[in-house]
Amino acid sequence: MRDDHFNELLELLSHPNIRPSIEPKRIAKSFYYDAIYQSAIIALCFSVLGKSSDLGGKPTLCMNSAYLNLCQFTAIRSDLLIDLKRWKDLKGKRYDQPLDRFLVLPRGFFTDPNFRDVIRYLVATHALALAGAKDIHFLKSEPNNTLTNLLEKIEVDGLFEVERKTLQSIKDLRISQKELGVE
Amino acid sequence: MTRTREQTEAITALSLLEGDDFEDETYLLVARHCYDAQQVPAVPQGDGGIDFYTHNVSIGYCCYGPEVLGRGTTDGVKKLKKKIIEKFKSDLKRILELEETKSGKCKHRKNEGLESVLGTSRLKCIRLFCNWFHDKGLLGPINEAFKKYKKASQCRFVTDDCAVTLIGPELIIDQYPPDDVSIFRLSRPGIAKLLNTVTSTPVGSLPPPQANQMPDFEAKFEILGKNWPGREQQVQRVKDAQIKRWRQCLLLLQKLESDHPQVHKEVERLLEAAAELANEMSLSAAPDANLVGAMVEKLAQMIHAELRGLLVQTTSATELARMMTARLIGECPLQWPEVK
Repeated sequence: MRDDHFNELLELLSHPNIRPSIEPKRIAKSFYYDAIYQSAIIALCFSVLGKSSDLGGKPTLCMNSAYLNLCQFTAIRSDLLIDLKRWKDLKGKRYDQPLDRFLVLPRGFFTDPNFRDVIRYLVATHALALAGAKDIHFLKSEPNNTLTNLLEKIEVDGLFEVERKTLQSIKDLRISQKELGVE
Repeated sequence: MTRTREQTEAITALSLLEGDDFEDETYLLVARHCYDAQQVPAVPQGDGGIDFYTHNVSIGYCCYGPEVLGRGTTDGVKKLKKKIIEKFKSDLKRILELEETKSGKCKHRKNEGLESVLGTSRLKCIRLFCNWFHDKGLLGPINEAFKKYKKASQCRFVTDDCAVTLIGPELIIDQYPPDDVSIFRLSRPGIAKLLNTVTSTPVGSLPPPQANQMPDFEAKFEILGKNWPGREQQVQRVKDAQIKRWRQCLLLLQKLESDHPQVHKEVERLLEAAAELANEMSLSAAPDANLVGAMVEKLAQMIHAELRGLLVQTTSATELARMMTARLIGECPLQWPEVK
């Protein structure tokens, strides 16, 4: 490919006084795939949107898994809130579409296995528990629960303000399970 | 009708394909089930009105995959509906060798391109494939137009009882179930197109780098300017080009992250691997070795090898490698301190 600017850069770098070097450790990794960050967002989802429930006599916060997926995906990408509002506005109108047909949502929402992987990890560490095929419970009273610890840290340090605001806005949208198509 | 998760995902993926990607994918799905499926190349001078045909040249297919953006709104849907109707009406007119005057009258207009494809065969059915079919209101205008066109046409390429059907992604997947290869391909669409979108985005619309990263970036080019007296303009030009590439890289990564997270992860892994390799090279290489050039070349090779099928062209892999390198220069892992 012809690219004079790139070849010019190489030529400028060939000066004997200039010695390029690279430090691979300084490459910033994307936070999207950070399991702790994802866990923190999931904890926030339960804290803002979870419904009080119980599992085996223990108090929990419960969320539908599809709803939780939508909330965490949108919380991480707050720009999508506008699209989600648009989708909600169309409910009951002529061009009402189920979420999986609402094509403004990035396809990563349907294809990213990250959410499932993190949920699996949190279930394995007894931070979450699955009930049936659809519900996920946050076992908030379990000792040393990863999510409880993360929530405390978030509260104390006042972290993830944008994500929290986004989740609050999702809550205000009052999306029902029927609208999500998961009834 | 109950569909499997794979079917539902295939429908979503198919409905997100646009333009030639949608046409190619639907052709491959149909070709799996019809041994005599024949795609019509759009060269020279277009495809004559049909994208492919099957059943001994008796069924013709027209595909249309309009842009996805904006469909979520009522306005977007209205515009989309209009676009779909107009596109298919235009295809039907070409197949029926007609042109419409401003007053709506139809005149014969010979379609030599289609003649060279169909010969003396006549289509019994025209199937219109679209990546969106969520409004039955599409059918009326298309059916009415087809009736009108048939009446006015000499019907050289269609039988007198030729029918037209409109089919959306749901029915395409139901009627031509995808095999494992198709499902895999649909779940990892080409990113070469994405790369084109990024490179054609105006600089002003590209995401800016973080302000706190700029001083280090500026300092690198000051070193270049200092060491190449009299070539300040060239240094400035190169610097501007690098900033643009860095911003293009940021946009590309944003798009990959939200649309193709698996590819995004893969690209990040490759970048790290190429940087490690370049680091090793720098430790053993002569002081005057072309570290940056060698790293870009290695990264391009790795991208091409690992993402084969997603980035068919070597040039796309090289372009992607240069963008990633611009990001490394911008975000500091790639430095060039002055050696006294």
